[in-house]
Amino acid sequence: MFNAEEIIELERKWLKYKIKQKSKFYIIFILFLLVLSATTYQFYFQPNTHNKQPVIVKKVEKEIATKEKVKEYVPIKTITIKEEKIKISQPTDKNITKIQEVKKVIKKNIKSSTNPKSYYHKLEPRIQGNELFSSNGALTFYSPIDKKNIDFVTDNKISPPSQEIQKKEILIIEKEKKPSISIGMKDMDTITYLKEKFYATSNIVFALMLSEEYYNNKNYNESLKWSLTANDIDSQNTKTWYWFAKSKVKLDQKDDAIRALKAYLTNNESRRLNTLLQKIERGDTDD
Amino acid sequence: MTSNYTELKNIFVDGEIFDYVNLDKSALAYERLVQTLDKPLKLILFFGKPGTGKTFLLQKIYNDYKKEKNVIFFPRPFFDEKEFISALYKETFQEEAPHFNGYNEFLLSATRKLKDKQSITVLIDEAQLYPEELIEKIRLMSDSRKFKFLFTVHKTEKEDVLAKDYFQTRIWETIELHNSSINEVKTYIEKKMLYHNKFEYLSLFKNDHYKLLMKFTHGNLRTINKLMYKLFEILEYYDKNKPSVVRGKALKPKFFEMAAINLGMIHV
Repeated sequence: MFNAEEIIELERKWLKYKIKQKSKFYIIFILFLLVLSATTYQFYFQPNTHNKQPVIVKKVEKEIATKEKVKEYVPIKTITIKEEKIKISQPTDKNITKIQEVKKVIKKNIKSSTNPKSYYHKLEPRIQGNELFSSNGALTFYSPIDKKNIDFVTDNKISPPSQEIQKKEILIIEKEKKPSISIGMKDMDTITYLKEKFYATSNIVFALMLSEEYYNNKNYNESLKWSLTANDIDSQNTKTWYWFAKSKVKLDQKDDAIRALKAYLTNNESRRLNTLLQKIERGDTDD
Repeated sequence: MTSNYTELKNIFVDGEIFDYVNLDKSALAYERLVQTLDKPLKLILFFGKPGTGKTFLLQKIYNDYKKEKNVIFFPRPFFDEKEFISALYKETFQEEAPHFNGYNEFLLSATRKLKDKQSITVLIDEAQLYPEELIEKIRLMSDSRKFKFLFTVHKTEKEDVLAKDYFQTRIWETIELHNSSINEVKTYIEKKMLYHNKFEYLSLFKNDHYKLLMKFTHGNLRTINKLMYKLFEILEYYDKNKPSVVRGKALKPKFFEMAAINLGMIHV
């Protein structure tokens, strides 16, 4: 039979065995937790590369929102793609180049068209900055429409070639990029789009673009309203004064426009606003 | 003061108390072995891992058929030819063996004495321990058809005795005994307890305990005996010195683990 010492020794060994046995489970459990944590971190905190896909619209949004040097601004209505899906997998330079090449093809095809009732304007990025809006160095702005870059074309067979071009573009892009992410684009007009963006971001850029857009659409009341909204955000922004003054002129409130511009120019300098002021005073209100 | 566990412990003293427990696997092997006794075979090989119950099975066959089938059982190995011949003569003819100068002389004498009598079946346990020369002589004796030998061999992982030439080429029939399954282990424990009127203690054992037994012993009956002996030895200590520890309707797995540690089945 065992004696007390032997039993104590045996119990000590048993305890050691149990600790050793359970430590395996603890190690496995800790490893599991570590793997789980790493996976969770990877999933939630690592930048998701898929979200960076350079869908055309997203790229424009990003560039506007960050107030960086804008390479290209294309109003939505000029690139409206109805019920089409663009499949792009990775934001490589090669892809962007390819898209640009395809656009050139589109432009070439459009130029050859002859329909007098239809026109397209192809917008190229403005390299030159707008002096009027860069005077205070706070913000640079590029007019979305540059007449030099607008190609008025006519074409009797607009729709078929256009569709073909779209299809070609999609096919080329699809061939190059697998696996792909599908992003659908819906029909949306510029005003709605810009409003949506403004309400989502409260970014002055969108307010100014709305003001300009309404102005171009001859809705001067709305243009005035949005210029004031933009001015509320940043009263030192020259563009807010610019669109305010132009809208006022169109609304037959020339005096208000002059008074506002003079007030601004008292404490600030802006060659473009000066030029505008002189034009208004001369009665030259043509755009 | 004698504990109840002391009596239980003694049930599992290996080799001291012969309780043949009729397990499924041994029942099958038993049938096959008995059938071979009636066949005109010269050499039979009965093998299995140590502790699977080969010796017990041979002993049972010997006890059951020693009178009617001329069966001789050698549980201990022989290393000397003369000693083997003398023992074989004594067991066969129930008289002291005269002096033989060699196995040829013995074979002539035995053949003469046996004449038309039924052949003698010799059960040889631990055959792997016999010298190779003696195995060869035994084989020659079997050629006389007056003796039939059943070799019982331990098949170990270290040395595959079955691969040896004299077992590979001379054997006419082989029977293997495997380790017990969990149900057989359960039956083994139950029958042991029942046989020794300790049936009331069976309630101490639950399925988890049998699983632990299997884990530590792999169904090897000899190892089970050792573990059970050690288990009851530990319980015996607690029963005498710390009764509160062993109070209850079921055993703690801790006691099985302690027994396994003590026997070196678990390395700490």
